[in-house]
Amino acid sequence: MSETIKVDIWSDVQCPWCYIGKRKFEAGAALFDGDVEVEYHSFELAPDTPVDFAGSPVDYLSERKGLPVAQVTEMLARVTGIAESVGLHYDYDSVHQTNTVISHELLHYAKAHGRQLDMKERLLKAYFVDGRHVGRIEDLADLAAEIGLDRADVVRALTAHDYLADVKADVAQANAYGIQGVPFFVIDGKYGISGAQEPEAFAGALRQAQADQDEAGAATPASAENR
Amino acid sequence: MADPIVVPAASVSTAVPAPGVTPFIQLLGQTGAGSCEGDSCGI
Repeated sequence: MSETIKVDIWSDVQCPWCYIGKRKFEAGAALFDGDVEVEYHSFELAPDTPVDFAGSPVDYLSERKGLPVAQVTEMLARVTGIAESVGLHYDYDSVHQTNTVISHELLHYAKAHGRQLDMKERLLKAYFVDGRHVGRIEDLADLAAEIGLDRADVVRALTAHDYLADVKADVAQANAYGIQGVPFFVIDGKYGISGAQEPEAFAGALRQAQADQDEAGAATPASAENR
Repeated sequence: MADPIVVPAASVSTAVPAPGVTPFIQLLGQTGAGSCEGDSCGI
């Protein structure tokens, strides 16, 4: 019998493709006839972004990339449309561009308390849909409390940066894998999927990992008999 | 499913090995799917 397939996902809270990819992965996992365990890992796309950027995402991207405002606006409209196709209602007019390192610390706090998946979904929705700030400790503590975590303890842990080393370890692991962009999915520790691919790509990778496990399981009794 | 693409060992840094995790993985699926690298999200 196959064991649970572990999926490690590198992602950033302010990555539009990561939320879209999350939905597509979830659809792929639903096509897979087996058990899947998901763990999210930290990836900082723009670690030099200030916590309180004075301007809109359009301002931020046009300044950073040197593109005309009209072109950036058109680009964001395109990704908003793709998000809509998977049921996500991005609202870039209300997005607060920020630094996400503390939100990653919160994801590790949530993992330690068995709530990482709920926290990940809440943070992505907070950033892209709800117009909430995901870079400040007090705002993050509010979001954590919304999923049932202890607000005061979250403030304490984030202020002390209890989980910063875990964030950095995730980034180091991403470097070790050669990951340059997110979302990035590692299936059962040996297959990689880059980007927000279609659900069938994820389902296929999960089936491949399951087949590998079955093959390994079938080989084990024969080996024992030969002893 | 697309044929797996083996990641060249030379493209994978092993400077920061993680306990119990091999840095060698096979890429599956299509290339060019939506993703973000730095400030660039292909958008």
